[in-house]
Amino acid sequence: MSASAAAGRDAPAIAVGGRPAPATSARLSPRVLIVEDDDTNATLAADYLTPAIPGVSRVATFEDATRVLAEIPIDCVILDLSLPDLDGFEAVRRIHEFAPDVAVVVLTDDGDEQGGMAAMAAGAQDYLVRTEIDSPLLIRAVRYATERKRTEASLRALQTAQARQRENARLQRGLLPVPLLGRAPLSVVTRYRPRRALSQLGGDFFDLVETDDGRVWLLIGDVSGHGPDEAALGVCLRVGWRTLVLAGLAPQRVLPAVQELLLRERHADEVFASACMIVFDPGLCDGQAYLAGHPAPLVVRDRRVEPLPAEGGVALGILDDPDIPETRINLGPTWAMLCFTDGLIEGYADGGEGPRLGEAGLVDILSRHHAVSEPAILVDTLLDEVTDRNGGPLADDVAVLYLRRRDDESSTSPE
Amino acid sequence: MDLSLSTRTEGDRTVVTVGGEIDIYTAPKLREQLVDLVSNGVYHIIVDMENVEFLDSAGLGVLVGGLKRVRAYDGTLRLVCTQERILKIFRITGLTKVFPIYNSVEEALAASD
Repeated sequence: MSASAAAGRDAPAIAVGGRPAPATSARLSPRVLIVEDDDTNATLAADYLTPAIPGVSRVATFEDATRVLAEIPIDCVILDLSLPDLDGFEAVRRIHEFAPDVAVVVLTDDGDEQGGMAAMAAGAQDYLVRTEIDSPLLIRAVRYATERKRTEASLRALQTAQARQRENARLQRGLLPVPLLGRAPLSVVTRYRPRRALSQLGGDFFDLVETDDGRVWLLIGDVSGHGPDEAALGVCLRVGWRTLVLAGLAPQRVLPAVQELLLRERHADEVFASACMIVFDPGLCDGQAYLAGHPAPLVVRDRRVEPLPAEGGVALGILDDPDIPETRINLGPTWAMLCFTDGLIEGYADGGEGPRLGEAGLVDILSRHHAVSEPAILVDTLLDEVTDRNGGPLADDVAVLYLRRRDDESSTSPE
Repeated sequence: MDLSLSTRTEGDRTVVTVGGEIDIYTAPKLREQLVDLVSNGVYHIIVDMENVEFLDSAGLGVLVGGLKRVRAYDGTLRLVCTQERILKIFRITGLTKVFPIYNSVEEALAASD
């Protein structure tokens, strides 16, 4: 470590996270900090600025400068390149590192153009030769430097947002796969609506796989909490589940194996996941259901909507042995099923406050729309109504998987 | 809405009274409280949820985490809840099989291990 950097260690402790934000509004006059050890030069610079820019402070050392930067919002630093306690270029580099949104204008001595250029390379916005400055030049330099810095900051924020969006899109693709269906007589609609704060993904996941024997395997689940860790874990569980199914594991062993995966892959001890798995027999009239801490799907049969009558077990990741009950289900040839994550029923029932929608509210909504013939329109109508009744976008992610058995051949035969 | 927390000691048990909404935003506050209690040697905790308006999966996670922490010291974490909509969440997630749930703080205090 160089001597100049070592000197910086004596600088006051800098709380990077707590640094005050620059006065961002472009209409406000920028706040300027002059870092200059020579009193005469400092006073002169302040006098040049104050007619147009009243918010000017001055310190004599870099150490004091870091203290001021940590305490008050500063937009622009005017930096003397020959400070007593720190090499000028190192000072520019440190300010840039510590306060990336603060513009830096350096003052060089006559004939030190090269020093000015080097300071620019280290992150300064502009350099001025001390003997050449006057009031209009200094004011203009501060304003230009501040504006350029603000533009840079917005650009950086935009790039961060775009990167996050791409990351979310990647995770969403992983969470929400294309169903793997062959000849099964099934219409499928899947929807995923991210939560209100678009920047955060939840860990909702689902999958649908038809195996060679004609069985159709359905999974829907939700990792507790929200965020990239939960989303990544959701992808992991879904892909793990698909692998276990394609590898031919017996249905009752699949969710316990998914729990094993969860226990090994989760990022924190308290993370758990709810899951609902249904294995339809070939022909899709019967099957087995497994509920692990997940809301029961709604089943539409004979114009009636009711929760799938299946016994529920504990969510995955809570007990050593999840002990998930197996329920035999008989659906007959004509049925539809709405599988969902709890975000769909946790919203408000009536415009932003009061009681929540709940399972009963969802049964009610589906009962009014279940006759819509086009499944995609039905699901979108239902989601819109849930959102409307919440009084706006839902607070939690929602994944929806709607299945309808296509009853083309048997629709004319008596039941 | 925010989350309110208060604690009091009753014999060898500590009652944490929770009010408001336990969701993704407020759950960390409850976690901190439970972690604090356990690190101060409190292993028998009663969480009174009678004034809880809303509970989501992040909140459940914190309660499960709290249970794991006290169990590591042979402790207990009991819940007090009679509100049907909150109980339903415990039933759906299967957590009624994991947490002992009581009708009142008095019942939870009287319960033996």
